Amino acid sequence: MRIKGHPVWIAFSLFSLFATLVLATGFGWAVKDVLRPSSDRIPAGEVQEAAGRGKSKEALLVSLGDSLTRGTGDTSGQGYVSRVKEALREKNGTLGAVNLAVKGQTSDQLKRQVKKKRVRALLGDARWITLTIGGNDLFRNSGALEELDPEGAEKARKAYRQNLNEILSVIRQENPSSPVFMFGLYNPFGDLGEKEISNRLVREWNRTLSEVAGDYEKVVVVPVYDIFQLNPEKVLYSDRFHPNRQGYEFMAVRLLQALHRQAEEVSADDR
Amino acid sequence: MTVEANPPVLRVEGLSKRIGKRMIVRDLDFEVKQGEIYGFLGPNGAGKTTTIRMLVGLIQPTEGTIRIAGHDLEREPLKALQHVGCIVENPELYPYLTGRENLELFARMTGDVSPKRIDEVVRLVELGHRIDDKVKTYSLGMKQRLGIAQALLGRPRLLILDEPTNGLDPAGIREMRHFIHGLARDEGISVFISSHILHEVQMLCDRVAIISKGRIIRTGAVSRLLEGDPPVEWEFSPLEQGVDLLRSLSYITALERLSEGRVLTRIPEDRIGEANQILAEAGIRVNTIRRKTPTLEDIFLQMTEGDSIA
Amino acid sequence: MRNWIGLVYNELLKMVKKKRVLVVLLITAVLIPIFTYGEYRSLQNTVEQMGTSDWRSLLQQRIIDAQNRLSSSRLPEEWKQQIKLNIQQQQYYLDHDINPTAPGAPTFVRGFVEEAVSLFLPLLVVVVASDIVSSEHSAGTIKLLLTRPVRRWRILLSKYLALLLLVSFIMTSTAVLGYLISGVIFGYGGWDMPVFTGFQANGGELNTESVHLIPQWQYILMGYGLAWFSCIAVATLSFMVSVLVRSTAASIGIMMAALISGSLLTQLAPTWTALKYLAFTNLRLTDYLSGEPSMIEGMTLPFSLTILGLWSLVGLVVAFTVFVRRDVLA
Repeated sequence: MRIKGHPVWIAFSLFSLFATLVLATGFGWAVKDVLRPSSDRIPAGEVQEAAGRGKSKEALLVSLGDSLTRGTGDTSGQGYVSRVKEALREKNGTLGAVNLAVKGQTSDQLKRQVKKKRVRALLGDARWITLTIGGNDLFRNSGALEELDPEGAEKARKAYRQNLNEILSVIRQENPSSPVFMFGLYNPFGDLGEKEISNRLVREWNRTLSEVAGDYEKVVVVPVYDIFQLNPEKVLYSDRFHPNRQGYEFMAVRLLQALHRQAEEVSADDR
Repeated sequence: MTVEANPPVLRVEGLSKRIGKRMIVRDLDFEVKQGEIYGFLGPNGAGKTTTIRMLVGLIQPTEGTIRIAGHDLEREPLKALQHVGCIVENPELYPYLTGRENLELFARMTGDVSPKRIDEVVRLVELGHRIDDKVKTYSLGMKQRLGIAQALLGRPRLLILDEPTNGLDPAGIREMRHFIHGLARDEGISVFISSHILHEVQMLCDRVAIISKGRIIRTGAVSRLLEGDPPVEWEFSPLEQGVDLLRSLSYITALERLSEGRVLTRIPEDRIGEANQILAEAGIRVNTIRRKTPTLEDIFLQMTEGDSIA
Repeated sequence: MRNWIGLVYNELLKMVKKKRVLVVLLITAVLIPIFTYGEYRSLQNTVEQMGTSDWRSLLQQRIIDAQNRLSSSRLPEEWKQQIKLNIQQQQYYLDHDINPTAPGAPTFVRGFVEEAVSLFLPLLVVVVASDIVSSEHSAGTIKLLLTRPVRRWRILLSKYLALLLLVSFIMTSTAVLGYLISGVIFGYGGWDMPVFTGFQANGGELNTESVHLIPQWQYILMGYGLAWFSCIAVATLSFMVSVLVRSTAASIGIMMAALISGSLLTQLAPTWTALKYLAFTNLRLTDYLSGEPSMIEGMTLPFSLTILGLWSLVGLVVAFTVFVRRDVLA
């Protein structure tokens, strides 16, 4: 005769044993899979296509570009994008916003970014697109501030023109109707020596920017050159390169003005 | 007893234990026969617990052999332990289990214990009404009885109990004593009991080994343990004269001066009156003659005094 | 054999009746709703911020955010490496149009085991495993246990086997509890959702050659299997400590200190490569499944398994040697 256990605890023991076997199986499977991945792959991509994209068709603000769109230098962390988003939300109710800007991004990098499948999809869904690009191209390729390299700057400008062209054409391909608001460049070194040269460079680049923008429908250039021309220290962050809170505030106001004017035009057209 | 022909249930030879540089137990020899209640008497710290732990395999002896029912504990521990039931120090059972769960647990480890046997031992220790309660609700006496029940599960031939009456009230002690007697008498179980209380050993045991500082200083039948003379305390004056007079008497085997003019002697019972008369005749006034119950200390005293006199 | 079943059953009974297991389950049952709510909150938050619940936009945004973090120059090189690999992996999900975090109870369970493998599950195991031998010492029951006609190594082995069963029970319970509780908010579906596995980091680049899709239930099973191995290593070492130390509190303390410092050290000193030979820096086995890049270079699944296995082996040898030989004094 044997001493019997309590049925509850016998069940508990058996369950634990079962759990051990299951987990051990999982372990063995995992080791096998990590070391020798199974060959019968499910072709990726086909699986969820049916799920469809963009279930939510609400108004979407897509922002592209560099640190200015990121909001670097704004101690409140908002940048112009958040301010514009808030203003739009007040007016339009629910609103989506995607900020795809990357600090230090150049036009070449942005060109590659907008060609990505997912970014294209977002652009297609966008009702507004905002963009800052060029600052990094200009101030990185033109040599040190003390001895600007006119030749390098000129080469960079040509590349910039071409990149910008490609970026805008991709945007227009994906989204022929929504307005694109592109900020102009400003000169953060306007109060330093050699300001004649730097001012001249920025003006040249701005001209390029406007020319390219002019080739596309509904691409609005939002100039900010003047904001940073006088008393730049009031609107620049302590790194003397990015705007500060005040600077972003001005940028947001400018953009919203352009946006509302554009909206009025649209409604006027409708009538 | 008529069991001389059988091998002893427990035989210990040359048992020693050294921990670090200290010899805890030195060169013990003794035997426990079947159906015998054997006392292991000694003051605290004499090495009793260490010895008991060696007997049940909790501590490895440094030297010596232990044979239980003919099996060497070191070479055949399972066969040897099969015949042992024990409580080492307090009966520490699992307080979060019921009495029955505890017994079942140990039964599974003892092997060859049927559910019927569990009921049997529960009845034996009279715990039937509380056996399905958690052990943490038990009184000390009940825990002690459950401990014994646990020890009896495997029908051991040798029961080892370490200070079994520790912490029990007088009624509990009497009950325990009765119970242990019954076990030895009715079931023929040998019982090995350690204790530091002489009285208890006297009441319980057939034979005894007295251990002091790790050595056995005497073994023998309990009836012979107090052989020799009972201690008697005297008070008389003048003190010096009386002491000298008592010392001169040949039948006084030991004499010790205590405080406040008291004198302790060992004297055959039938000679007390005679000694008193001698003192009185010498003009010594005897105030008190007090017959004392011997304590363990008295026995040690007697033995050491005896040594020095011899 | 029959004997063995009895011994293991004994030990299991003791562990369960001690209520420690219950406490562990309660801890889990209290924490999982909190985790669930936390995840729900952060999801809601992002959706609100972005104004869209489309996972593609969310994932794209997350990639961009990571890229921005990358451009901060103060980041240690090792972290940058890790972020880069992460970005590549997320991009891979995005390019193949697979949502890595489609909400659902199974997804929660998957995320739970990936996060809990390094600290939470091991801590639960430590709570249960640390007193398995030391409690017998502190309660004095060791004297009854070792005076049975059963060899000491059998007693210890039965304790160890019972511990393994219990670890399995606890892990399975966390999965079941996690599934049941999180499902209230996230829904109970999603077992068949495809998940990528097989990412390999190769000198800072993500190698996607052997990446393949598996259904989520398989991923969870494999993840839990790997976590189980980690937890068994932890249980084995706790077991050893429990044999060596007679106080349960001390043995829990030692194990917790070791666990927490193990997980902290990898983050504090990722360049200190000798750390990879410690047991507790190798607990994150599920990372090899998800393709999460390891903090310290040169760590692979076989490497981690070997290290954990060796430590466990040493722990067992020490535990058995000491337990079988040691005198039971006071």
